[in-house]
Order: sequence, then C-alpha cells, then structure tokens
Amino acid sequence: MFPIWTKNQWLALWLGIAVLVAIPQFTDNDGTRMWMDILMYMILAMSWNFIGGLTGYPSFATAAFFGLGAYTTAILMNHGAPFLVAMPLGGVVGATVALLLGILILRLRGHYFAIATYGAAEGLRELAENLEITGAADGINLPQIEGTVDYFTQYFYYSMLAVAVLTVLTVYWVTRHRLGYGLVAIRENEDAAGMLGVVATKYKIVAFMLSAIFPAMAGGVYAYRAAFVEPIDVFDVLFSIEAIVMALLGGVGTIVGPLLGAFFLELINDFLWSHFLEFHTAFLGLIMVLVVIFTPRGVMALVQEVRKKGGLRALGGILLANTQRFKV
Amino acid sequence: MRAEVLLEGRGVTKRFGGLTAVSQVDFELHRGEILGLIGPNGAGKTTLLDCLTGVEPANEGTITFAGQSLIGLKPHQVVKRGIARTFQVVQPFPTLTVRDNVAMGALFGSTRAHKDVRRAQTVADEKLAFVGLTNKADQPAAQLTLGERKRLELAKSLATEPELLLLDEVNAGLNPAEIKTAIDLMRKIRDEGVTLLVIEHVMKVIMDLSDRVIVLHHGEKIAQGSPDDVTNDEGVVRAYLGEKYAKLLALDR
Repeated sequence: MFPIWTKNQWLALWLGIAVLVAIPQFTDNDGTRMWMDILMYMILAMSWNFIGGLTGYPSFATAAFFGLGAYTTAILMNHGAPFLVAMPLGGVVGATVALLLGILILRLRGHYFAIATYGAAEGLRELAENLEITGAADGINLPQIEGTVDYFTQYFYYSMLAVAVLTVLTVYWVTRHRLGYGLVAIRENEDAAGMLGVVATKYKIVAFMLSAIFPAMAGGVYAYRAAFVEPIDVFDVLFSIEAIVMALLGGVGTIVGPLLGAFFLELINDFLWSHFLEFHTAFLGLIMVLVVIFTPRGVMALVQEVRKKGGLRALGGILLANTQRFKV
Repeated sequence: MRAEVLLEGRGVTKRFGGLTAVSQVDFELHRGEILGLIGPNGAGKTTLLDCLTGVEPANEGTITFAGQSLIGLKPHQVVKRGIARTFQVVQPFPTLTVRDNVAMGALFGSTRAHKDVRRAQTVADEKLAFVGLTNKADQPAAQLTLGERKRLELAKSLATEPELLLLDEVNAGLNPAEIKTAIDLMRKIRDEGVTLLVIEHVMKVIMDLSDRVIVLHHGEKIAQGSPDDVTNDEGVVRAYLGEKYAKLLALDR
C-alpha cells in the first residue's frame, strides 16, 4: 500500500535532512527564515495528512492545535519554564485536547466532521480572546531570546527542523505499521474495516492526536520567535487551509506529497507576498481549484502517471482525462 | 453422535420501529457443518446475520458462540472471537490493491493478529492463492469483476482465520461457471475445518452444498431439516410459490 522505501529513497531522506541542517551556513538570515517557514508548513501539511489524508476525515483543526501550542508555550515560559520544556508540553496539550475533542466529534463523518473541527478552532480563538490567562484580545508577550540575530535565527530554525524531522519519522513509522493500515482501511470503508476487526474509534482518535501534536509544537516555536501571541494570529484558519491545500497539491494520503506540496506552495507564497500582496489569497484559491480539476490526486500522482504513460507528451491527455471525473 | 454445537440462537428478535424483521428465531449450528439459510426476499436473513455480528444488536434473545455470549459485542469484537462474514453487497477497499485488501483481514481480524505488515501480506498471498486471485494481487480492488470481488470478500474474511464463516449471497449475480467455482471453494473451506452459514438464493447451491437448511419467512422460522425435506415442505412451497402450488404439491403426494 505504501511503497517499501528503496535504498535511494532513504539516501534522499538523509541527504535532504543533511542539506536542511547545513542551510543556515549557506544563506543569510532572511533565507534561513524562509526555510523555517517552509519547514513549519511541512509540519502542518504532514500532520494534517494523518487525519485528512490517511484516515479520510477532513479536519480544519490544524489552526486550533497550532494556537494551543503557541499559547501553552507562551504561558509556561512566562511562568519561568525554559523553551525546551514549554514547547514539547505545548505538543502534549495539543494532543490532549485532540483526544477530548476527538471523543466528541469523531463520530461525525464527512462535511459534518469538517464543520465541527472548524467550529472547535473558532471556539478556541473566542476563548483566547476572552480569558484572562491568555491576555484576552491583547495577546501576551513572551520572554525575549537573548543573543545575536544570527544566533536566535538559527536557534528557531533548528527547533523547527527538529519538530519537522520528528514528524517525518512518525509518518514513516505509522505507514510501516498496522496503525497506518488501519487508518487507510477506515478511509476506504469504515464499516468494512470494523467487520475485519479495526477498532475504528480508537484509530481515528490516535490519528487526530497525531494531527495535533506536531502543529502544537510548531506553534510553540512560532510564538517564541515572535515573542508575542494574539488570538487572531495563531488561531488563523489560514493555517488549516494552507495545510490542506499543500497536502492536496502534493498528493493526499501519500508520504512525500505533503512535503513537496508545502515546499512548492511556500516558495510560491513567498514570491507572491513580496510582489503581489493583495493577490495572495486569491492565488491560493486558484491553485486549489486547478488542482482539484486537473489532478485531484495531487502532483505526485500526476508525475507517476506521466512516467507510466510515456513522458510529457501524455501530460495533456492525462489532465483532460482527469477533468472527466466530474461527469457521472 | 452429533458434533458439538458451535453457534446457538434462542428467541432472537430484531425490530425496526413497528416492523419485526426477525421474530423469535431459534437455531443451532454444529461444528463442521454447512447450514443453508433461505427464504424469500425480505424474510430477515441478512438481518439475522447483522444480529449475529453486532451490526444490528438483537432486541431479544440469546446468541452463544463456542459457549460464550455474543450479545452486546461490536463487529470488531465478534470477528476476533472467530466469526467472519461476507456482504451481499461487496465491500472492498477500492483504491487498495487486492493483496492489501486481504492483508487487512490478517492484520486486524485474526485472534492471532499478525501485527507485522509483511507477515500479513504473506498470509494474504496464501488466501489469494486459495481463492484463485493470485494473478490479480497487485491490481486495485476497484478493477475487479463482480465474480472476482466476491472471491476477494471470501479471501478477506478467510484472512481473519475464522472458525465460523457467514456467507451472504456470494453467488448472487454470478454466471453458472462462476457459481461452480464458488461451490468448489465453499467445499474446500469446509474441508479446512471452517463451519459455514450460507444465505443463498440459488437453489442448486443450497441443494448441493447444505447439510441442513433453515427457512425464514416474514422473520419467522417456518421449516428446518435436510435440503430434500425442506423443498418438499408445504409451508415452504407456499411461502415461495403461493397457495396454488402448495395445493398441487399436496395432490402430488
């Protein structure tokens, strides 16, 4: 179901990690920051893939977990916890909320589930805007990191890289084991999965927790870097939407799809932000529409199909054939 | 001396609102036998299987399997007790390969669940060879013909290593050649020591295969016995063919 990794693919993974470790040595601080954003979106997209891609439950809760992690880190650090304790604890809080939320809403399917997760994210934002501990709508400051610009840029970069590597390794482990198979069985046919012995409730909750823990940790890094959190920023639904678009772009339910989707979309995003600020969101929408129409299984699937059917000359035909899926 | 009773139901009743789909049905299934379950459309056959497997819990009655009650168990618990089932409307995992479909059964359903994915795929290959789908192992399940999908259902449920297999119309929609293959398969499964409960509309299958037959009509058990006894039973003929033929049969005697 998931391709067994060849030696070359393992090599590519370790090489990729090595390149990412070396990046701050070869680029300036702006470049390092851009790569940190790419890593952050890779984390969000890969995490969404656990619940949305493998399990087939379209979640809009990424922003909720991101915000929870950001606030947990902020509050704990203001109470004297060091970052390297506060940030992982943010992950734990994210996973715990996912567990409780999952018990409540994972009985819903399809659109209903999507709406419930969106509601949960908005509810948490409202909560953060009104509670004293979260500084209400004013937000809260975090302790400033000390040191040179070079030092803290790299400090945040490597923190984000550590979370990203943890996410990749988890994806690898899950897709090698029963867990990944159970999740896919639920996506394919939940009732039939139950008849074959998959304890669907348990598996769905685990997938939801996995989709929460890493975004929450990324939220912690994000908060410490900004030294400030406010509800409207860290609970922004765009975090959820971008994660989904990136996974869609690369290939939902695949291992490398969300990684590639995050990489390319963030590069495009970066370009658009600096050149056409006002078109940025419209462009995101355009990509979503094009992907869904022309390559609903993502760019990865498209590349595979082009290879199988004999090169770029077949591309036009494949894209056209994909649009026919809409006809009943 | 009869074999031990493997599955026993007493007073099994299932109501949907005002409709009683299964009414006070008693039955028992002996280890190693093939029991046919027949009846006109809407007689409650599939609902009875739903009660056994926890899909639709029975409102009344007791169901015991190998001496232990099945009442209150969920489908994923029932399969681990050693009861597997195929569906009348096949339920493949459409985008997965045929091999992965079957591996799911081995990974999750078996009491000796094969937690290792590769081990499960080996089991899957054995089951695919058993049902004759080896050459389709790498295709997505969605590409199979109906006859092949029915055999895939069989392989999936066999991969859970059941003691009891419930087959819901595995022959519906198949051509005569495919039906013959299916009958041979069912015999082979029984010879491996699996007990079978078979819902079937194709009478030839029931006559050839069953040791005993139970007939349901409007949710009630109206007859049981050997295939010959049952097909000559006046009540059964009336249920299937109407009053006129029942009288003709009576005159014949």
